[in-house]
Amino acid sequence: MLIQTEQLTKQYGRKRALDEITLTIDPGQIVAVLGPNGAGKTTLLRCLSGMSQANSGRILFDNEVFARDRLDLRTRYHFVPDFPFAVPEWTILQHIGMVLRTYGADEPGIEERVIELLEDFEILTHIEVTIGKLSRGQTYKAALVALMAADPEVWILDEPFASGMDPHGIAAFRRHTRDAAKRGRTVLYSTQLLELAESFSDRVCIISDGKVHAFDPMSHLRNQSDVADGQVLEELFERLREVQE
Amino acid sequence: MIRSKVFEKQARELALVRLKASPRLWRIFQKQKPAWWYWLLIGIALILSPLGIFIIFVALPFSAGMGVIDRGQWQPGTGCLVAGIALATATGHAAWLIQELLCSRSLAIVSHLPLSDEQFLRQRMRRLAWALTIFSIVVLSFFVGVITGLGQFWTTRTLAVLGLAGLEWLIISALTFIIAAYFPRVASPNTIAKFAGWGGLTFAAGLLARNVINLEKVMTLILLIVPTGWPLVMLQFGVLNQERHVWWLLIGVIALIGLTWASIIRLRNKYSVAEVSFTEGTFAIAVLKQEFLEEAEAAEELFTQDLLEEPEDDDAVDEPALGAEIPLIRRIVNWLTLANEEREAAEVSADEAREVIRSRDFLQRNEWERAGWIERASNRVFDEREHFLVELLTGGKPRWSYRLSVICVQVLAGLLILYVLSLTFGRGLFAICGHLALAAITGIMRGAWPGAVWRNKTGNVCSMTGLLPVSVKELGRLSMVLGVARVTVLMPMILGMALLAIWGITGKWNLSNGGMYALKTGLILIAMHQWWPVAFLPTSSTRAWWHIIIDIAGIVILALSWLGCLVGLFVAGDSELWSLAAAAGLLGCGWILQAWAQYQILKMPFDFVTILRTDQQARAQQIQKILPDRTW
Repeated sequence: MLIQTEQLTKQYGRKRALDEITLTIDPGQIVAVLGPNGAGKTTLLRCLSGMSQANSGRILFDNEVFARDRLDLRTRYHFVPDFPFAVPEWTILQHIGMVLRTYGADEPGIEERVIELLEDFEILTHIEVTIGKLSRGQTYKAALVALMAADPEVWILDEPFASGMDPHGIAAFRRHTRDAAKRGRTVLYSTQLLELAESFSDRVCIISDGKVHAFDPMSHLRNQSDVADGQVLEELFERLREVQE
Repeated sequence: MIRSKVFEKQARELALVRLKASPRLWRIFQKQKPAWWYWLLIGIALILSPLGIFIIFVALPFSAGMGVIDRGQWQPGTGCLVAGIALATATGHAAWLIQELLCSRSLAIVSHLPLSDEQFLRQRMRRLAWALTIFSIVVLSFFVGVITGLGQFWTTRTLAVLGLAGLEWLIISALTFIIAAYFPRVASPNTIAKFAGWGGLTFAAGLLARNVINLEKVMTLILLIVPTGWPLVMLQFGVLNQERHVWWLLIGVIALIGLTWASIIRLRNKYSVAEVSFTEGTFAIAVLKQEFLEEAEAAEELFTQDLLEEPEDDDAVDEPALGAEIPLIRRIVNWLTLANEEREAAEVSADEAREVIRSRDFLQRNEWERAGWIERASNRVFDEREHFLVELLTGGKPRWSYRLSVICVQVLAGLLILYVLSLTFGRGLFAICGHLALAAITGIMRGAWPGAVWRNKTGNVCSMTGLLPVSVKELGRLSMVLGVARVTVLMPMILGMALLAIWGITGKWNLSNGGMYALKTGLILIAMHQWWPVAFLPTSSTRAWWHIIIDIAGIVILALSWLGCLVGLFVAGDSELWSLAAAAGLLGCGWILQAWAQYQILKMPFDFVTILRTDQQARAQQIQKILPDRTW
């Protein structure tokens, strides 16, 4: 699904969390949204998911203007916040079931996919445990399994690498996300981990003070830089800080 | 259950051997079956009950029945004892029925027989009726004592006492079915133990109260609250003292009978455990034919030989069996709503988890057709999307019928207390309480919607409509349908309360006034439903101060308009036009509020997430800790 933002602005009181952001994200890409604390990463993801409403500007999905009552568009993406929301009294399986049913992804055969994902994220034996009793990492894993089983066209994730998941969970996340991108799914995630973002994204979006400072394919950034792989984004951040100072 | 006693005994023994052969199944069985102390308590209760009666009849200077007649004085202590034993009989048998239906050797056996669930249920209920009759003899002997005391047989009084004895049996049976169908949790061994304790206390109190006049009123009140005490109150005040008003208690009995009928239907609808198959393949009773059952004794030998054959590999028996068993355990849990914290927290093995997921239970829609009668009625009104939304909001199961039955019991108990109080304070109490009850129905309508607002680990909350593709507009439509459906269902209760309130004021049963009053109340409730979709939206923390001022001002104006319409609805009197205008105004206020919320969500910088302050977060986390228990 093609995602476009036009002059997207979001204000919290006097502070502009997003300042006229214009982006175009092609389908089948993994996009890492980077930026210092308070830069507007989460706000951007929340606005794209409809959880927050922008003060001005607009969002287009496949050239159609997005609004919160456009259920047809909303069923094509799913957002997992850094601290996922759920009903604490529901079990993991109940949660997954409800999400799948909401997205109309409860077709026959989906149960094998659910088993596969639960096994990969090592929460298969916890399916009867209520979400309120899970750790933060386990809750994130449960939310990811629901997202990946529902498999909408766009996956929006806030800080998946700082979600409390163990290394095994992170590895499973990376593996499944890569597969999803190959299937044409668009994945947007925010992170602070530059090295990780460099190796795990097709395109990076660097935000600072609500403005987009870079929105380029990783390959392009690598070609422009003269530093070794794994340090490209770090160098870019350093330059950004110098410019701002 | 099975016609041949010998056959049944052998089959039971073999089922037990099979269960023991599989450690996993045996563990589950052990968890489900009552503890040893449960049987001990039941045993003690069974010994003590006749012993108590014996003391009353023989050891004391007068028999229970004779005492009532000879002294011409109300003996509520004795009555409490009888009512207590009757209640224990009902609760104990409800527990027995639950155990039999959900986890018993009979169930293990029946799962391998070509018997339908309904047949099994009917068999168990028939046996229950016999057991109840036998155990009720202890209680019924009290009435026999009274008849003996009357001295004359075949008089109107004697027949009335006999009738009351029958009524007592009926009430015990009714309570048994109601508890089993609606309050299976009450019928747990744990509760039985408590009841045994209470029974002991009642017994002691009864003896103590014999000569303590101050306790008499309290005891009478207890007898009025506990249904098993009603025949005793009717016996004393209706038959012996000739006080007519006490026969009003018969309304309660009729209500109980109605509830019993509903309970039996509920049991029949709910009881479906066809998946039970402990030892698939080897415990091959499925080959039995219907004719074999009819001639069980003749075919007994052939059958038991099959059973006695040892399985070649025990492990091979366990694994396939488990798959069929898990849905049963889940269904039992769902049906009983017994999922306590310990069970919820328990992890399942990977194989069990796979089986559970492959059963697709978690993706199935609620069985609206098999649920309670309100759910069945709603099933006809809702479309597929509305079904799903209700399931999403309620977390799978609405449980409306269950709630209504609880409310009915509460109302019944309330009316009885009211009746007793009105003897002292006068009829006016009914007017006040009738109005209060109408107001309380508003609370009843609120229901539980755990899926409406989602939480995260930090205690922040977010409306479900912000997280999933569900729109507030849809919820608005749903609230209208739901409001009309609920009011329709509750209308008899609303009408009853309205009639009662008017009777309390005027002393007359005025159907037209009461009917109009009930209709207006129903309309108010529908109008109130229009407010709830908005209540599901958390107060956003990102709105500017002027948004909040507009919100407050708007809500104040709407609330005042709503109140104005509410008053207008009742003071409009005979003017139909004004009544209609007021009714439209009530609904209109809700719709305006919904439209305002919709506008904010679509056009204004409204955030769904509410970030709580630290103290609120702490409180929310505290609530989260309590919630799982409360919701179950």
